Amino acid sequence: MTCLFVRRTRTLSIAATIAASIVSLVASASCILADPPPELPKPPKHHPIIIKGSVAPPYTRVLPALPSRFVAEVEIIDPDTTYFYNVFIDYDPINPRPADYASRPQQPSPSTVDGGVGSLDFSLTTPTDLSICHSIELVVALGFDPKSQHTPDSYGSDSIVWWYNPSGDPGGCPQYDAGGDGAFPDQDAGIFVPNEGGGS
Amino acid sequence: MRARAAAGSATAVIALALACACGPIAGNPPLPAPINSCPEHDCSLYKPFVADGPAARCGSGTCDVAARVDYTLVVSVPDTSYFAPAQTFVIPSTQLFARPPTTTCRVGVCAFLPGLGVVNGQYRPLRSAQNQVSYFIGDVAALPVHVAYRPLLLGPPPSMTKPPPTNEATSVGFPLLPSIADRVSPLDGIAGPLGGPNPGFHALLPPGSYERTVMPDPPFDAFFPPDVGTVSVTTGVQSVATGTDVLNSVDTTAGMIGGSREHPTFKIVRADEAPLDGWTAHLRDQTTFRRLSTHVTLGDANRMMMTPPTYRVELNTNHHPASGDALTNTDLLVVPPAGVDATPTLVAPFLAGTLAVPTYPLIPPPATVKGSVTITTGGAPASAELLFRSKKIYLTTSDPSFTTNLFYETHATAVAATDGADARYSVRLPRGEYDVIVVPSDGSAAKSVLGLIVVTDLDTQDGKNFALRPKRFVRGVARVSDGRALAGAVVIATPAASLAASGVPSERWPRLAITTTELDGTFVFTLDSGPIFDSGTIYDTYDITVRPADGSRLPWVVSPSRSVPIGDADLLLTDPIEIPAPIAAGLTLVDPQENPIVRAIVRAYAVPSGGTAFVEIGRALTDTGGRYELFLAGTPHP
Repeated sequence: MTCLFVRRTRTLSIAATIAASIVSLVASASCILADPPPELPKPPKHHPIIIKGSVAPPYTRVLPALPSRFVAEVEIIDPDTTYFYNVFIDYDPINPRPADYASRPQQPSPSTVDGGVGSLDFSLTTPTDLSICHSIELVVALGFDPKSQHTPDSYGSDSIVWWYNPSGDPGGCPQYDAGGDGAFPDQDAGIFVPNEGGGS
Repeated sequence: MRARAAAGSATAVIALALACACGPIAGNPPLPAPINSCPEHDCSLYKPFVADGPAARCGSGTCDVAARVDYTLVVSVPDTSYFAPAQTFVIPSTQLFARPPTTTCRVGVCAFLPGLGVVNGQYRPLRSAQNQVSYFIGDVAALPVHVAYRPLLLGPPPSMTKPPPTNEATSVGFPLLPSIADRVSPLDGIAGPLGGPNPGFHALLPPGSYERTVMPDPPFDAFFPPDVGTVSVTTGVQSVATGTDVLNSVDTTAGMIGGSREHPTFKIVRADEAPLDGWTAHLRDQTTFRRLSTHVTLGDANRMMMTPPTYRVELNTNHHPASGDALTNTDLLVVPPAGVDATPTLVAPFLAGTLAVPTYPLIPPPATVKGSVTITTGGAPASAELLFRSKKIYLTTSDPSFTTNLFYETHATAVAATDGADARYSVRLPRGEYDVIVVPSDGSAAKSVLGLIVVTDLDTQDGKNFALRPKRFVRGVARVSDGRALAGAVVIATPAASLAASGVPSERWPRLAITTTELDGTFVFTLDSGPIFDSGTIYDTYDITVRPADGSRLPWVVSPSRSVPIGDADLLLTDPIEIPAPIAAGLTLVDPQENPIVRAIVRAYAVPSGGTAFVEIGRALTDTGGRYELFLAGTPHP
């Protein structure tokens, strides 16, 4: 009899403890849900940025030969987002072709608070036409339009262009860029100027 | 007792629940890439990189190995640097501490980059040389020139099993490009040739050995040859403005027709007695294919006979080979003018101590060749580039005889039809036999080197189709040698550096491929399975490099010269690629004035055991203090 009483008392005690635990768990959870800690606003995502000075070979001079490997350092703003890069030889926006080199997803550094600085590289097959100058464009972005490997997603992209002249003559490549004032050269300079007026 | 146990369990459940509910707001999941850190990970679990190698130890939170590795450092200084912008230095690890240390730049942790060499020069042929070529510009005038400096090796490193075909640094795997000198006009008030400025050249170069090519511009290149020679550049200002340094005399030795050893002259004539006006002739190096002589255009000035039109061409050279005469290891080229229809170049090689120029033979007119590019498993690439390179040129329409003294090379693009069934090309070719290098633009099929015969008896030849193999799947696995799966690592298959060292032209190399390891360390990529070289020789070797994630403090591991033979089944790399504990090789780089070298790309190269070329084994970027962390596995080995 005593034994039975003791056993019932223990059973009741266990049941009471479990019930108390469940109540406290629910209460705790309710507490958290009712008053969540403030969430810091996340900064908007940003495309990777090519560290223009730290590319090899340097892009500021015409390449007299095609290097075995192009290397670029990229500053990755978002630590939790992969990024991509595509490379185009002589990209033609009127008649676009697939990228000459398209990367797989690139990981940010696992040991930095931000994405850190990542190193990317690529090699290219020597263009078949060695009589003309070639442009080599590297574009980095968080993502690209599936229909156009040159068009980045809404976060934008960064890019850099090398000029490769197989003849080794820097005079064979375009010498004009928009420069500081963004002015077009005179038509007398012999450079084609597109008619932006829309015609009549 | 039971009640107490039950109460304890309940408390644990509650604690767990509270922990879950009250823990930090969950961020994004951590990246799966393993990190080299201790004591979280037991350093004793790492296997040595080589048998009987030293064990890893824990120091400064990282497992590393106290060992020495020989490597060569390639430092690319950013173009934003005050010191040596856009210059690339090559420094063997044994010479990193050649300059005595200072109190701020201590030995073992800090290395100086050497000061640049400043080269100023002019191409001023002496009067004796002007007499030889019968073109007089005076005693002080200099020619306008293009000048290129190509970095050379100081000698093959001791571990290299075979000497490279040339001693250019690029031929053994270094990422060095020629430096083109700037053109300047010295303010000496002296007029140059033809009344123009008196031009010079100027270059800033890291100390080292270079092949310097000084190439006169037109029209002077028809009289004065390029000056090609080895020069040594040291820190400081150097002047090569004297005529004796650039062009002392025109050195020509082997006599051709006319027998003059000072002015080799060549008789050029066509078998069909057609004139060759507008064609050009020059000598080139058989190894590098670079021009070694003047560049002469055929015309009335050098026509020695009207019927048949026969030309006497005098080519001046300043070629000084280590052995032999000026024509040793040269080809004479007779090149048609631009725009003529599919006409081959005449190539007369230096053979058996002489350079004999054959008559330009009679050949049939070129044919129009058409065809398609498809993939053997179906479909076609979106587009493909085709490079046609002749092996033999047929001589007549009825006779199957051929010549190898004629050479023709051109390219075409195959574009996919709207139905995507095939990609079509059309090209004009002299009749003969060709190697065709087909490079699909979208990576849908393997780059291939295929044969083509343009028969003698048809003016239009359709159906010259090329079927490309699909790329081959290659699978493997990488792991940290302490047993962890290597997730998030980049795996790169590059054409083996040994291909360059063996002289295989780069256009015949397989293409690079990159992939990333999965959570379990497995990786897969598709590779060109062996573009075929002449005579059926297959060059299918890759260096496979596994790069743990940037910042993981794990080293790169290179598995050199892996063969990817042609085959339909997936190729499994059975041996896992293991990442060992690294050898820490980080340093601080400063310029000669002890200013830090900021944001320079630092690359380490080494020759694999038994290898023939350098491969990249690590990379880093210097910070604002010039410091970089570099973790190396050791000398790569098969």
